Amino acid sequence: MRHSVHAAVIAKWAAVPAALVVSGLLVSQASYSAFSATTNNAGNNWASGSLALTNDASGTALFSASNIKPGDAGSKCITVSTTANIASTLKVYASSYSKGTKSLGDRINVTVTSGSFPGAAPANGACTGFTAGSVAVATTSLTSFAAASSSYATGADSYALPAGGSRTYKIDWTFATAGSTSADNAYQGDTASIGFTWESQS
Amino acid sequence: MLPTEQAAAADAAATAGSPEELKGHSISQQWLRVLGAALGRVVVILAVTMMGWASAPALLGWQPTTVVSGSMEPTISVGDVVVSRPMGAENLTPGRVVLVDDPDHADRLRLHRIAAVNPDGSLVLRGDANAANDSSSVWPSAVHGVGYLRIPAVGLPIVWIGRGQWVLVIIGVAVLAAALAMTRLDRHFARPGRKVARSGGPKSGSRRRADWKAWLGQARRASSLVLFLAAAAGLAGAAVMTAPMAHAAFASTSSTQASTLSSRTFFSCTAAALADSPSLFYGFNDSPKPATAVTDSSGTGNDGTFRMTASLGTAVPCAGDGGSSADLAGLRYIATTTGSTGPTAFSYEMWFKTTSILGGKLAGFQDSKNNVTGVNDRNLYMRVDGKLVFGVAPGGTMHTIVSPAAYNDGAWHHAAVSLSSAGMNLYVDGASVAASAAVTTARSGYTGYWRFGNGDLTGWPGAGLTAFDGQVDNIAVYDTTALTPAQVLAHFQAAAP
Repeated sequence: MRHSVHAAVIAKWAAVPAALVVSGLLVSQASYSAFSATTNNAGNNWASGSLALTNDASGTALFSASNIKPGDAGSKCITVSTTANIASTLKVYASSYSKGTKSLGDRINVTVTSGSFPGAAPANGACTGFTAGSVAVATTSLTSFAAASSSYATGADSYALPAGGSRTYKIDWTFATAGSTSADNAYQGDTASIGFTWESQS
Repeated sequence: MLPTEQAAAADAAATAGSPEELKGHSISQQWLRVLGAALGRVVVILAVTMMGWASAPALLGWQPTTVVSGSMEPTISVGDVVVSRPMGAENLTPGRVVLVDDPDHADRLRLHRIAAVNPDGSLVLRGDANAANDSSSVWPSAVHGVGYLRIPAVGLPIVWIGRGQWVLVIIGVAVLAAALAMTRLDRHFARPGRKVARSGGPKSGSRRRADWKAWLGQARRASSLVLFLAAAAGLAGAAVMTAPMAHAAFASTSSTQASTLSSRTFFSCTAAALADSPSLFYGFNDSPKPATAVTDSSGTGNDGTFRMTASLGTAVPCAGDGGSSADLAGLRYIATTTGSTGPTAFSYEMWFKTTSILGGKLAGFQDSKNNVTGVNDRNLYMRVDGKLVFGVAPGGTMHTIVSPAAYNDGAWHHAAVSLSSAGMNLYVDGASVAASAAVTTARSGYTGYWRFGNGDLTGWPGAGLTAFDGQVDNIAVYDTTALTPAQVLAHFQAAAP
């Protein structure tokens, strides 16, 4: 009995320093591993989630038109997909915009519309069969779009992208006349370029 | 904590039997109780001290936050509490984990690692598990602190509550309650002191032991107080940690290569010609159209006049220009009003359309506006076979170059000629079709007028009729320079629909 009491008391009071030591070790080890080393686990799928956004025009220009003149127009369709296992918010914004030395971008109007295809999307970004849904970017000049939406924070659309979801967009551009032949001629021989970036954040 | 209290109370009720029950327990059962109580204590105190680690630094002004998303995995997991220490900008170096105001979401905190520092001082962040750097950089002023302590899993209940995972919350509470209950398994070893004190028997040999046991009872009550205070501290810590959440947000971008839109070099034939500063340009686009005058829109005032009658056609070669063309059927031609000395290095160009099989003179520099014959040079004419001839006669000796193909096919064609020290050149539809480097000068020594559509062709090889039977448009003369092949091509391409 006496031994039991002593052992119980020892066990009782030993618990306090033991827990303190264990917690200290836990915290210090956890902190060391988190804050001491630079790690890069790009593309790995962790238990709590992952996001990998792709589009079916990746690596190519969405549109590339040369020798355009006032009144010319074109459109391309693109589908952005994620393999994410978590929900996220999808936005689109302009990256690396150049309006050209003569400000051609001021005269290019762009409209971004979300929508869907009844079946598989046609090849090469064609929009055959595209059914318009909601307007992501109302008609505006490339210059003002790039100024208004240049980062995720200012990106357009804010679509709630479910895990494994996708979204199809149609991008229309039009070379709007400046109003007169002489005014239009100021935009001859110029090149505007813009990259569209879709970003999804959890 | 209500369930915990209930559980503890139930445990107390179950084990609060009379001390005599103790006698029925074997030694091994007593040891199990001692060990179980110790284990329960370790778990409870561990939980409380972890809470303390998470909350106590707040007293120093360090900011504890619960991580609620997982882009810093595997080093920082969902449910970890990260304590960030405010530090000067000089400490914001690549590799460090920082807690910042989320640049992409108002009222959110982001916990990511510094990937790079931009030349302007802004920080490029990245979640360890993200494939790319964050698209938005942050200023050092947005940094709350540098990650300093990571307390694993302590914030999990907050995450569970935030996600509505109530089953996990209940399991967690039950585990804690069970641990609390286990701490009471050895309570019987403290009871005997009370029994001894109650009996009051002055057993001399056990007097010291009784004192010791009384002290033990006090210590036990004191340890209960410590437990209570620690639990309170833990709750306070939980409250501190709950307020701000750190989002280690997953992000992924998908870009297209830059899309380019290039406008035409020239939207119209007029713009193309005027861009190269002609000395004469007849576009035939005046509205209202003058009776017989032909307006020079080059800005040099080199106007002309329809000879015979004036007639304009609606067919035009350049969609970008609109307007009309000159209809030269019926012996009509155009001559400049003011004479000049013949240019030495020059070009001229025009669009023409004909189905004539009789030939005709498209352009030439003649010594009168309206005489049928006279000194003439710098001639462009169509032979009866439809081929074009460009000729000059320096010193009266005729030199000609001839196009290989015929162009009297009823379609619009662009013809351009040039003469300079590089030789003579004939272009059709933007491409050089005939050239002679040996001939570099034209006939000089007379004052003349540009005539388009008719003029003397006496002696020129292959010439048929002098009057051109067809339409012409966008006539331009450059009297100081020869157009380059690239310029000619651009002028031709300006007509594309």
